[in-house]
This record gives sequence, structure tokens and C-alpha cells, in this order.
Amino acid sequence: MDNEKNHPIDPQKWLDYLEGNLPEEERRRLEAEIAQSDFLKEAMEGLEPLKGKEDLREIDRQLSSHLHKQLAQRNRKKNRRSATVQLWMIVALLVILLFIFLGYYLYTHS
Amino acid sequence: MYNDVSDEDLLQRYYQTGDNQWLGPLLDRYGLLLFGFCAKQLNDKTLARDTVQQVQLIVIQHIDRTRVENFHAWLFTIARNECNIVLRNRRVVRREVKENDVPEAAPEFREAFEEGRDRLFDEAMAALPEAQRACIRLFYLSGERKKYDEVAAATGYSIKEVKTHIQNGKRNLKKTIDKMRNQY
Repeated sequence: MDNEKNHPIDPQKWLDYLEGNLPEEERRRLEAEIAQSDFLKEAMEGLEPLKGKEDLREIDRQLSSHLHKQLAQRNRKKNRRSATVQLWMIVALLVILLFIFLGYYLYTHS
Repeated sequence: MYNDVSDEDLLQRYYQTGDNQWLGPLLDRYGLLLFGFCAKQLNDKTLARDTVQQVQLIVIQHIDRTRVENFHAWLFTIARNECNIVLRNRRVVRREVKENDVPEAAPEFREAFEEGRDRLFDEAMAALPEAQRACIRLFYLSGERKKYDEVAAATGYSIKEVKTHIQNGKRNLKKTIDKMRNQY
């Protein structure tokens, strides 16, 4: 697994590899990575049969697009939550101030 | 973008800032490999795509609750678990199809069929004799599930024949699926 630390996964390179468009040196490096990881081995075994039959670039693009929608949705939720927290903090502050003024008023006029 | 940044660095930056601009590229780079992994496990590319999306959602929802050290391993463990869940659900649907004649089994049965998610099931259906296939399709899989007499009216068989075709069809489906499963 150490390989991922040295060489971050680059989908473009994996697509080039599957299409046979990767330079020899890069190809060997990826194959060494595959040999070291059971997950990568299984991923390749799943992708190999689809090579040529499926547009893997299109699948990658669709997955990426869906991912960004999910992340955008999460951002919206996060922002909404933080806006709600801010609103409650303002309300709480106003209530505290009101009590302070009220206390002061009652104290000075009693 | 961020092609030269390691998983660990992206993860570190995400944990420090909570900003999705670091999580997005991290998940993005694994999309295709996850798809391949799930396609291998599930032997179905449509299901594989759905499962990858589910895995990505799980990561988005859970990454803040845990301190991930090895993202690659964590991600693929989630993927393997999700694939196992999908496979288990699929087995449950099959079992219901095989063992149950009750109407409650039909929606899952129909869903698996309509979405083409269960290749074994599709192939087993295709291998049935026409009369059995037609009766099972109408009785279990049609949008408005039909009763015995309605299937009889639609196919021209008697009610007794319809019942026989459905019984034999289910038995043959079970046999064929078991046989195919042993081959895989």
C-alpha cells in the first residue's frame, strides 16, 4: 500500500493504461502497483473485460459529476446548519442583553 | 488538479479545513478503480455504478466521524462491505423468488427483473419454455400483477394450466439459477 503514498492515483493514467496508451516505464510502474495491492488487482480484473465495450472515460466522467453533486449538496446542508447556529447565537445574545437591561432598570428604579 | 498531492496530504488538508475542495479530488481519483472493483465483485456494471455512488456517499457522511489514516484501504473496505450487502440483498430476492409464492415477494422480484440487475435471473428466465416464461412474467412481473384467471385470459391457457406453468416455471428457474451459480 505504500505505493499510493509515493504515487497518487491518477485516473487519466489508469485510463491510458487500459487503452494501451501509456509509455513503457509508466506502464511498468502501474503494473508494479497493481501487483502490490489486492484491491487494485480486483479493480483491474473488473475493468479489463469492459475495455473496448464500455466508454470508461464516460463512466469516470459520470461518477465524477455525481460525486460533485453530492459534495455540493453537503456544502449546502453545512452552510444551512451554520447559518441556523449563527441565528440562534444572535437570538441568545439579544435575550441575555435584554435580561441585563431589565435587571439594571429594575435595580435602579426600585 | 492536485495530481501530485498524495492521499495523506489531501486528507490532512481536509481534516484541517473541513473544506470539500480537498475531499472532492481525493474521492474523484478513485472513482474508476472503485467502479472496476465493484464490477468485479458484482459482475454487473449498472449495480457497480450505483454501489460506487453509495460508497462515495458513505465516505462523505462518515469521514468527519473517524480519523482515517490509510484512505485507500479504508475506501476499499467500505466498497467491499457495500458489495457484500448488495450481493446479500440479491440472494434474498432470489430466495424469495424460489421459495415463496406469496404476493409480497413480487415487488423485489419485479425490480430485479426490470432493472436488469440480476443477470443470472435474466438468463434463467430466458431459458424457460415460452408458456412458463409468459405465465411467470404476467403473474409476478407485470406492472399490475395479474391473478390466475387474468393470466389465463391473457395467455389463452386454462387456470389449471396457468398454475402448472407457474409451478414448473419456478422450479425450473431455481434449477437453472443453481446450476449457473455453480458454474461461476
